[in-house]
Amino acid sequence: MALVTLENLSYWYPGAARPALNGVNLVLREGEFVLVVGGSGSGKSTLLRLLAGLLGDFYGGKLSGRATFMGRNLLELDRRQVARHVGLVFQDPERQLVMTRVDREVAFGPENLGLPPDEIRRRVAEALELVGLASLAEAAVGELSGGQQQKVALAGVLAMHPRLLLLDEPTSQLDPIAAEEILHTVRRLNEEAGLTVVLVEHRLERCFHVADRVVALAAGRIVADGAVRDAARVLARDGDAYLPPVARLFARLGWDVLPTSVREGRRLLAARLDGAVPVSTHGHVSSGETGRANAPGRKVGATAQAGPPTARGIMRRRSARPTEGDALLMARGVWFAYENGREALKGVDLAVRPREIVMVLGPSGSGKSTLLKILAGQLDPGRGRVLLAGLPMSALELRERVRMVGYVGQHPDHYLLQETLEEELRFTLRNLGLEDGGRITDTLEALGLAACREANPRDLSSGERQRAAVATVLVAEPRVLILDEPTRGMDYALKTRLSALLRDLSRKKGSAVVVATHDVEFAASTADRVVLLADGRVVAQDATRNVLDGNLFYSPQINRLLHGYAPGVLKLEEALAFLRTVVKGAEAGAPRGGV
Amino acid sequence: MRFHPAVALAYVGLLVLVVLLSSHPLGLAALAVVVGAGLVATGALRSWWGSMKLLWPAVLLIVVLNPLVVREGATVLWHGPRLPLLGHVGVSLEALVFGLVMVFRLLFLTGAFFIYQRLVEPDDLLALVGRTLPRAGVMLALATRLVPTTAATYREVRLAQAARGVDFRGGGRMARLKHHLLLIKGLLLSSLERALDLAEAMQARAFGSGPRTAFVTHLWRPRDTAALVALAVALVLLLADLRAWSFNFYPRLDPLLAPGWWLPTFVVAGALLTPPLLELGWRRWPWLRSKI
Repeated sequence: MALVTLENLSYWYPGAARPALNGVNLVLREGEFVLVVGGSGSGKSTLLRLLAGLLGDFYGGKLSGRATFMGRNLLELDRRQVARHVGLVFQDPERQLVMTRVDREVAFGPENLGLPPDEIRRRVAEALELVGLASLAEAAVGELSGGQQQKVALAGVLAMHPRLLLLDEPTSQLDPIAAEEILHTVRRLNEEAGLTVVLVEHRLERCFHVADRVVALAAGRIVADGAVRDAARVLARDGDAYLPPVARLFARLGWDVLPTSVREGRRLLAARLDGAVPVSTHGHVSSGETGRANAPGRKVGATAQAGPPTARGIMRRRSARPTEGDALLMARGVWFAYENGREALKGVDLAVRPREIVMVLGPSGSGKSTLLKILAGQLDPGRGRVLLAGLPMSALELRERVRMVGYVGQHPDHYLLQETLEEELRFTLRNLGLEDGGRITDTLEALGLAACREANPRDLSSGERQRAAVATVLVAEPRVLILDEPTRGMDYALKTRLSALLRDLSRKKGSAVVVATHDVEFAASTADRVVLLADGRVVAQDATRNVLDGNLFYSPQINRLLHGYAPGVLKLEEALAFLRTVVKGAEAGAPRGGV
Repeated sequence: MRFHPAVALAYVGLLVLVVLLSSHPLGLAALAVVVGAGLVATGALRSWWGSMKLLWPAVLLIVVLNPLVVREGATVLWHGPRLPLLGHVGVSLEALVFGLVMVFRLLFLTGAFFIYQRLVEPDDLLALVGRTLPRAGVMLALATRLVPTTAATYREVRLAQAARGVDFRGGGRMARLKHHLLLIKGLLLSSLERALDLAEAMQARAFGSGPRTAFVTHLWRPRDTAALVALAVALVLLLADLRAWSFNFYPRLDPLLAPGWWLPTFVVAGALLTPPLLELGWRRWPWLRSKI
């Protein structure tokens, strides 16, 4: 049964010349789990707002075409009726929570619907139980973690008993484990309660496999729509930016069937390779430790240092930890406690060398942001020392410090307060007593922002704003660049661009880069070294391969796919090279038992 | 403290009323015990004490300025010089005592505010007024959430600008002023964007779509009845003999131990001690907890 039908629907935001949705035709059936993909500005969020009845009411603008919800005109439905049937969970949990206590927050929607108090009590208890927060019913919302807050937001919507649940990048601010919990809950609701779900997400590796159907948008138009596998094939033909890494890998290998999850991918591999590659229960290729790596039918060399496609050999490349001598930025025994007594960092040691990209991973609240602020000199450690080019950070004056260390926090908008982008960069130079001398032009060009020079930074797209914030510190040509969660809300194309930019900075200009991120895929493709934090302590610190190989969550999809076949493979290109070789070998009838 | 919000509101309201009506030094001494017990029972003592660093300029102003400018006291302790605008300055015993009484009232009022903060969550207030003033209740909850989020945004904007070399402490006055104006601009822009996001989220959850109901979670327990009875007694006695709480400072101080002042004062203070004592008993005496 069709729950929602959109016919030739177009929408223009007030004052916009081009439509944000352009002739959209879409039918959402009861009980479907639909994943909406597309680049920034493709119209994904606008589509959700249309379905939630917010476009006409809240944004104004111009609509054309027809939209029906359960057979009735969606655009003419009473706001209360729409809210009763359609629930929308937004990206940032903090910006959608109204009340101060968890149970009251969940009750907010049912109260607005005018439900009787007994009914509200029952719904609140049920919704909190569903998201696993029953024990925190009386907790203060502000004291919860980001993941818990997002669950509260979800419970608040569920308590309104919607038939259609819309989620706008609900996991973009969460660590992998919290994100997994949210998506698991949504999947359970879809399967057990038959709730219709429309999910917008950039992190495709997290959610592609849970959907029944994929809708891809570009410039406000639907460019692919179908069951996951069918849509995946279409998306693979049109460039594979909106496929999860595992599907992208098989698409590039030219296989007919595109898996959407690691489990499916491993099944396919097992069937295709059929014993050509022995699988080790310890996550390593079980063959010997010597031999030429690149040849099918040969054993994989453990000591090989070159790139793909050698399996174990290329992967287990342990890098010596940087010593005080070669480090540009160094934290030694750093402790930090906030005013409320919470110890955010407990004896952290970290050294960053020039030309090195270090990524700090870890769950929310593990101390990543605190560590970055301390490395940038924005916070002083309670105990321990931070050395910049061998000098104590605390001994450096503000100007000196900022010239050497560029820091961009989680909110790029807080950097952008001037009238034009050029003025933003000039402002930094003025503060630091530096002359332009072509720096502004060079920086804007390097970041692909030359066309935005005269634009108001707040009018830029989210990806451009992120780069603009980076530009405001990069214009001083710092020797160290520190970024806190730069990929939040970025699509694959923007992340690829950011990755290239960081590599350029590191390789061509010799800068050291430190990035805190939840994005394991980004870390795997970009970092030279990964530091894993947990509860304020460093639990792993090594070359990217050594840290991200063989984990359940903190490994990229490609690594989990090839776990046991080719340990240590993190990147798509490495996997491609490895599998091409192996498949060729298998098909050529190579003797079993070795690669 | 685990009381029904209506009782908690009545308790804090009466506390404020007594502080406002009381000018008798001994009555204030009794109130010191009452407010102290309230602060201890609610766990607000530390934060109240922490607020003293913000209050001390006001305290100093009252204690120093009042005796210098008020000339009604008859017991002059010090004759000062003649100053432009102020004329002859001097310090009288009466003005000094009046200043101290005012300071204590200020401290107790602040204490009552901290007790209120611990006792009544904004959401509770919303639940109480939800049926009659739903919008006002939501505004209150939003305003309460706004304070910590605005403070956090302020810190983040400041950090972001400092990362671009803005020195909020150094430079001349004009430079500092300009930097702080920039900070305010950032705060305003961020607050506006947050407000829009929140408004959209509220609209998506049907806020303002028609009459709303209230989610009531609080139970009425025997301790609520006990506390409410004690508060009612205190209110009746307070209104029955307001003179017991008043005190004349000028031109000479009233006698401290006027006949009949103590009984109503002690009874009212005792009644006001009931809620904090019930709370402490509830917390530390399992038997009492099971009964009330």
